[in-house]
Amino acid sequence: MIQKGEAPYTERPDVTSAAGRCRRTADDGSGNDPGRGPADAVLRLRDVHKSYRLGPVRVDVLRGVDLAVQRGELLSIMGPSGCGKSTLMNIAGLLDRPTKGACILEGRDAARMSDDERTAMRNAHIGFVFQSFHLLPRLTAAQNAGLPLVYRGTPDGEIRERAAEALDRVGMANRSGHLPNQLSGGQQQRVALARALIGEPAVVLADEPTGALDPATGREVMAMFEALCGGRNVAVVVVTHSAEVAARCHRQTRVAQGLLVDAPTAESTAPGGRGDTPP
Amino acid sequence: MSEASSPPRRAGRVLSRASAVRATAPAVRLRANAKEAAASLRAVLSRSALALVGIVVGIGAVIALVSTGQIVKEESLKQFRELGTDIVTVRRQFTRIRGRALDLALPDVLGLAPGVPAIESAAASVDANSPIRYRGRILAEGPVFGVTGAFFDLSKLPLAEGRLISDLDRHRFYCVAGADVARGIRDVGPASVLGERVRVFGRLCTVVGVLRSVPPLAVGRQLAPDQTVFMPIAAVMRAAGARIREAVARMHDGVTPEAARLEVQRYFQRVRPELPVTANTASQLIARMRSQGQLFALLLGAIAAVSLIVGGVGVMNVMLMSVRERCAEIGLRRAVGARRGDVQQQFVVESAALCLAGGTLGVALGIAVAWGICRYAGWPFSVSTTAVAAGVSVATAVGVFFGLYPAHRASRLDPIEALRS
Ligand SMILES: Nc1ncnc2c1ncn2[C@@H]1O[C@H](COP(=O)(O)OP(=O)(O)OP(=O)(O)O)[C@@H](O)[C@H]1O
Ligand SMILES: [Mg+2]
Repeated sequence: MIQKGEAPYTERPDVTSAAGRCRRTADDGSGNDPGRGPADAVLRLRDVHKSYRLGPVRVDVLRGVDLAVQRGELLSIMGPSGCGKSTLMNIAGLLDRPTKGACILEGRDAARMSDDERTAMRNAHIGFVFQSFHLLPRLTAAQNAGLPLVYRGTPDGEIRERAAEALDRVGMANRSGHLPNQLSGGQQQRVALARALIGEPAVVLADEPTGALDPATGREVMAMFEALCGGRNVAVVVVTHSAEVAARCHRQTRVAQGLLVDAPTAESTAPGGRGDTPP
Repeated sequence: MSEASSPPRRAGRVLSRASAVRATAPAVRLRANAKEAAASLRAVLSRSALALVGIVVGIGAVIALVSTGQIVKEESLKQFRELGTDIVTVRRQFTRIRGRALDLALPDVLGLAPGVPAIESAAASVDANSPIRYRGRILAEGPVFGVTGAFFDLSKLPLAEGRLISDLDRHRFYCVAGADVARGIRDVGPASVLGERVRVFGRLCTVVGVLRSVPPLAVGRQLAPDQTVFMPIAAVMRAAGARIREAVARMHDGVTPEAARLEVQRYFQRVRPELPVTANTASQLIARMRSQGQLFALLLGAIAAVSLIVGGVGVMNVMLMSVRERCAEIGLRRAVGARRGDVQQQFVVESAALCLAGGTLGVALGIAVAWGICRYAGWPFSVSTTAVAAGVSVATAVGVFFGLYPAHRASRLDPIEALRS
């Protein structure tokens, strides 16, 4: 289905073949999740390593992370401070490149993309939510929400329309003309959520989205993530330090010693919980 | 590709989206990035005031440079066209004897042609302020010109009807009317204006001739022949106390301008030893004007270069500061889909717009300076569109040039580092 207002469906052989590759990659995938077809994995990390070199010292932050995120899945990542959660999210979000290993988004290997291509992939498929909201202070809520579309070349009128729609979805319709400093933290995070959703991404990556919010507001944000997964088939990855937040996710994982392991919480009642993390 | 033949729903959307991102036209992106730039510009403007002073002065100099250059060029061309190169102008140097300023005397001017072999004819003119009235209404504000008989031929003023002023008219109140004045008379009076009487210097003056319409000329000072009347020089001198400050003479064919000039000079030394005069040929006047213009150009060029560099570096600093301050913004934009090129474009546009704002002020300043220079040098003043266009494009170019480095720095920021700040 072609989204209204997006640039016409131009034939780009490279993109088409990439989509073809997506199918193939998915089919020949390691198929270790019989419950959901592996073809549904929107985001896949394979044996991802990340080291930083600080002078003579090498810090191995990630040492072989494997992860497959399914469509409509709500996944939590926990772990102590400094264990590499944000590093992992940056690699998954195509903001950073792994030292070794592959990151495959919508069937395309990020390692083979140019910087511009990765940027276009971020714009098209990923929504970011940050702990500190990161709204641009001089733009109104609506302009902030519409920002991803600006870089798609969407016409102004349509951006306004879709921003209003996105703000409505997060319950901020009546605040569209407000500047970020006129909004509370929870409201700012809702606007950030609207910005993450406006481009109809396949994956939303949220790095401690409730970290700066009080528990009640945090629960509201989590409720929106849940609705998103169920209603729109969007995959959501949440990094959190809160067991309560993690418990609301379908599947809980934890970064430990540079690896990502399954770590279901005791009170987890979510239907997920079947990770495909490596043994 | 039709929708029906596209892959299943999700893949189809993925595809259309990816291609949408890549297929965006550069012009559309430029517009979007420019808008983003405009939003943040206001904040930058307030503290870039100092840097902008350089731009304002620089662009002002550019404007003044181009307009005076153009005026000099046009003026010299005009002199050639109107007077020709066979003209010698005589101007009295300002001299006082016992408190009274000395002026050229009419007999001396009239004696030029018979007294100097190189000179074919000579004319003098004076002007005095008086409105020209006809049946109670003002046809023109003046000034009114008093001329000798040869003036019309020397200034190439063609007669339409009647006759020209002759030296035999002495100080009678006769006049030759310019085309617009004649039309003014016809509007309320008879179709034939010859013999009609206009009021100048409080007296009635009979129209004896009408000129054809001609564009304004620069004979000594600005003269619009259509909007005035020409009277016998003695009449204007007597009625308004006007004095002769300048005379023009045409040399015979085959005489070199320099020889004619020297002869004229010698003639005045002989007939009026107490009054020093300067005789100039048209080519000399033009050469002087040009070298004067070149001096201004050099001066203004130097001012422009220095202040534009100072201003440009200032703008670059402001932009670098802005890049540092807006690290998080840049990181966020990169994360949600701004390519390096978009970030670069946004900052270049911002810098160019900043300089353009300064440039606009500079254009106003430059026009004022050009006006001042023209007054000082005695040239007619006009604003040239070329000058304004030059100012605007130089401002933009300076903005783009000095914005490139900060913009490059901004586009090279690591989005992760930028977001952490
Ligand atoms: N650019 C860098 N250079 C060197 N070391 C880095 C760099 N970025 C991250 N690190 C190191 O990588 C490790 C993981 O950092 P990361 O930000 O991913 O942790 P985190 O799990 O998100 O922690 P927190 O819960 O506090 O957000 C840290 O030890 C950090 O010092
Ligand atoms: Mg972190």
